[in-house]
Amino acid sequence: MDEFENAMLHQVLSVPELLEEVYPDVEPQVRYVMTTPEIYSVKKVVLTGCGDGYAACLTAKRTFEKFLQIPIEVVEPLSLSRYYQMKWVGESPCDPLVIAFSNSGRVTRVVEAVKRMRLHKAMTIAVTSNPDSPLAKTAEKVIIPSIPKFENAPGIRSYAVLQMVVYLLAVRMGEVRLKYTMEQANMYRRELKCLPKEFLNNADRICALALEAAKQFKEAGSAEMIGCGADYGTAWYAHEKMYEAVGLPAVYSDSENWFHVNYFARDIKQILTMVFASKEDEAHSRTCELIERLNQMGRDFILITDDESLQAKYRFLMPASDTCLFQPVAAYMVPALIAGYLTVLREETYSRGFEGIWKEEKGMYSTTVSETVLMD
Amino acid sequence: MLERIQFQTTKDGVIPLTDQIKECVEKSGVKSGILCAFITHTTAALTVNSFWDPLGHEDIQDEIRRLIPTRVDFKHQHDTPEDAAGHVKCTLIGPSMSFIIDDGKLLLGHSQGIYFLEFDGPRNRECYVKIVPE
Repeated sequence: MDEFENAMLHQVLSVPELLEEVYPDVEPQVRYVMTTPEIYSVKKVVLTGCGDGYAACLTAKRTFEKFLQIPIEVVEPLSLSRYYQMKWVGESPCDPLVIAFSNSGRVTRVVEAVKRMRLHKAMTIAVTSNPDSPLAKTAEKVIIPSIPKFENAPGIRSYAVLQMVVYLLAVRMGEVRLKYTMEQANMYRRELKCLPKEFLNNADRICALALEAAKQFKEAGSAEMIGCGADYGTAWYAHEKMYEAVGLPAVYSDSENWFHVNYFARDIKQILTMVFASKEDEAHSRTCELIERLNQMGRDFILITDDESLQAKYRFLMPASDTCLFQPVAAYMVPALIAGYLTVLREETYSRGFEGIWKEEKGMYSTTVSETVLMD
Repeated sequence: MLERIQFQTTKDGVIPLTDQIKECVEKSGVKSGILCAFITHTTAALTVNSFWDPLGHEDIQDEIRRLIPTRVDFKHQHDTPEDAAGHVKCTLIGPSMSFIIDDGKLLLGHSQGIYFLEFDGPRNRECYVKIVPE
């Protein structure tokens, strides 16, 4: 397996230790970022971010909904900054609560969205590793996770920490709003820290299976990532890694839309299909129907699930957890591993090395170079 | 001797401990002395109340809650509003009580029972009993 060692593999394997290391720093920041009256004032939560940040928001949306039982929106920064209806923004204190994720804190669109929301008196919290970033300076409150440096690779460690922060925020708000006991809240916190470690207890076997899957799909021309509920966020993350790490066009979909759209793909041998199926998810029955259909069509696919009754050629079993809401904190490791192996097999460079046509020279537009437009 | 009584509580629970504490006295064999019941919690308390009507226990919790309502603006915000209120309740009512052992029995009035008051439940709780012979 040595010839297939890669930076993404190393990042994945380092996640359990990373989470143990950052937790004592991150948890108090989450605990104290909002006062109890502020937490009680929140009537709606808007989660936003780009790339990994957006994926983290999607995975945590269901957790916020279940724990807080108030409207939760995941809104792309472009929508938030240019299209979002502001009529009801800022009508009452902390309403809505906007939580924006950007590890670098320099993504123009996220800063623009937070600026607009803050101007309209929404409560804004930024989650960024850079305390001097434009995002940190724009938001009213900031959570600054300190992520130790590591071998460079498309976001895995930073994603793990962003994801932990967003879930911890949901747990904290639910705890303060007395939706469950403190003991239950602390159990949730322990699970968030421990699930990745539990998943990687069989790291050798998991890596071997991931490599085997990557070898089968080495020549894939595209990828499709399927998930529902919290798994939809993991599907989004997975599709993003295929682009970023492998340069492979990918789509993400839920189980229902797969039947309407992806179902009709022609060259099925050229498609890397990954299905995320949490047993307790409300749409699990539809995902099971999708899996049965895939098997009937003779399609090989990669399955990430905690449901032992489901079968697939490449099946990654997730550790049992108290709630399916937390499956994403370990499930993303599978697409990260496979993407890492694919880059080796295809002799690809992460982010195309930012060379050639991907080279960002002065004056070129990018995620951090873009005109800021403040809408009313 | 030191004994530990473990039990589970419900939200706003009033848990009777009289029988378990009496068992500690019997087990000790002490004929005359002092018994101290002590809880190692900061959001619960011990009290003595009449055991005849369980609704009377609910009155106690209702009145405590009326005197110290759970509110969102406690200065202590590390945990939850219920926890913050629980600390105040515990301080005012107290985590320990002392009793007299006489003739090998716990000295209690004909209506008296010993109760654990839960202010931040449900939880797993414990009560320690220390018997000091005369």
